[in-house]
Amino acid sequence: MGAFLTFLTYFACVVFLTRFLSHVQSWIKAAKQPAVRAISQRVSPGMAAEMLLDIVLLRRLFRTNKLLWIASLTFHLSLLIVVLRHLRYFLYPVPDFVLSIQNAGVAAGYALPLSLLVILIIRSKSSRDRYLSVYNFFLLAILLLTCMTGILLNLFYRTSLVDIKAFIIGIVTFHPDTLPDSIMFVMHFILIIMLIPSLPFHLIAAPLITVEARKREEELGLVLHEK
Amino acid sequence: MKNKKPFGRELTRTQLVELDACTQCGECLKYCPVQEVTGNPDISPPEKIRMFRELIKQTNGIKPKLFGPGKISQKLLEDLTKAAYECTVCGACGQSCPVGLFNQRLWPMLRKEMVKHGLGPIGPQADMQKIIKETGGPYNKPAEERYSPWFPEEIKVMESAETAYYAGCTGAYCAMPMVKGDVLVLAASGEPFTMLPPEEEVCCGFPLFITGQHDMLEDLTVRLVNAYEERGVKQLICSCPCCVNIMARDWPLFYGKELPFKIRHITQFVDNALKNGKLKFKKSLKEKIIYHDPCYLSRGVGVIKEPRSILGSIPDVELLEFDRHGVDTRCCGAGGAARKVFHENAIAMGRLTVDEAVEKNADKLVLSCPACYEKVNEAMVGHDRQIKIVDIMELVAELI
Repeated sequence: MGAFLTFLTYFACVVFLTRFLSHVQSWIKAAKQPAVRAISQRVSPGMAAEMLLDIVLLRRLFRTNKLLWIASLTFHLSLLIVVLRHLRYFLYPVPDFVLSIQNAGVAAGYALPLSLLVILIIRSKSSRDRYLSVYNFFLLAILLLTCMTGILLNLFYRTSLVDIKAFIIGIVTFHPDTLPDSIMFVMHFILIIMLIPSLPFHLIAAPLITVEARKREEELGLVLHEK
Repeated sequence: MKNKKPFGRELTRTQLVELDACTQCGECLKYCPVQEVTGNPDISPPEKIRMFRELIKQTNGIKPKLFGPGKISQKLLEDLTKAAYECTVCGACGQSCPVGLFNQRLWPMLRKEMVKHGLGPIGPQADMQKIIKETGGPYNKPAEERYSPWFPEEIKVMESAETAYYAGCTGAYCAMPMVKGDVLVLAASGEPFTMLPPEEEVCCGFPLFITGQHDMLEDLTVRLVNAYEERGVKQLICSCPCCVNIMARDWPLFYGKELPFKIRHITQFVDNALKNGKLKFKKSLKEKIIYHDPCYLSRGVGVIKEPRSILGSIPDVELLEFDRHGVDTRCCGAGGAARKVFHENAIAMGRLTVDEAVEKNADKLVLSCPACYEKVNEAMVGHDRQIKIVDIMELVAELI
């Protein structure tokens, strides 16, 4: 089982990387075409700061849906903390900052599924924009299940940290180790393997477009107006 | 259907990244005017992107590269075609997009892809290229009727001048009070201006651009730019937002270099003329008026303050605002050449604009786009709510 899961992990990573490189290749190919832009402004430090805030604080979402903004910001922030917390399984020795966020990581582990539930409810209850793509539903469902199994592991199915770490570091260093003896961990791990190849490209593409949007908005006033 | 031509070739790098950047959150559906009147998520912006991604995947992804192009379902092509062409290309979805997709630009390029693959244009749009070739404009009307029905005889047009006025096809054939108002106001400002003879003032290219038919765009642009340059033009004034949009944003690309003159919307010129005393309101207007921002003027080229400045300077007037105004404006239904095929949608959207203006107790609904002017007037026919519709320059001409 351990060998099979290790193989599945590598396979999932290869699928993700192949998808990713194929997309990047198509973007680079298209770079040959001229950008459709009447005006091209230099990015000032002020504009760069605005771009960063747009991305980090999801400010464009704040403009359109405040409740969804709160849920999304909570989701992204708690996901980040949870991922950082999980670094303790990948790194040896564990850096101090990872150790310092362990408690916050547990709290984020609860906030994460709650925020996902709120997002799901907003999406399905909203009267006019009742739109949830199959892909998004699949992603949200996998994430929710991953959170649930993670919480169960933390609360009721405590598994040896040493065993988990040995297994994970074995995969990372291409020296596979024994699978920890915990059905909950196996379920949690399988869900993550399912998540890896399905990771959406908007993780990378959306921030790039948010930067473009800020530039475009700044340039709008210059299309027909003097500087 | 086996489609050998890969999809995605007509998009720029940014637009390809935009397709990947859509999170399919569905927020845009709340702002889409087509959704407002059809309630059909199958033709919504994220669905269009999902379907288009699917076509790229089938024809331009890893699988087709390794195993040849996959089979594309006829239904997918039909659904995407409907979704692409039922859209009014107003860009409200991009404006409200939490990521910031530039959909006012993405959708026309998606339509260009559809045309390249023989999937568009649809309905009467398909004849447009031929009609423009034959008559110079998209309305199948003779060039000699371009100015004659509305142009005031007393107004003098110079052979050459630094300022030129471009009436545009929709204004000249479908919104005559608007273009008449334009030239009356221009003349009243004392600014000498020139115009091209009717047979030379051909289509600006926007109807072709917006329906994805790009073959003639370079030729039309070069003809117009050269003609104005020969007349010594330094600024080209136009009142049609769509014309102004393509002139400012795309003509330099089709022309291959910077234009030899500036493009200005008529409200910019008039606002300036009012501020420096060349124009003055002689009459007052004791009415509540509401101004509708055309999508391609506000979201498209950022002309938002000038129309308000003009209207606000009319003595005694009370200027009202739509709930969604400025860059957030709601399409009146006339956009994207969709009105030529999906007439009922366009009328329903036009009526939403009329309804809100009536609910806000406006005495007049002020427009500044010939397509809006034509369609909102049409939407009033048989509608239980009525309001006086006027073009901004038609109104200014009455009061100066």
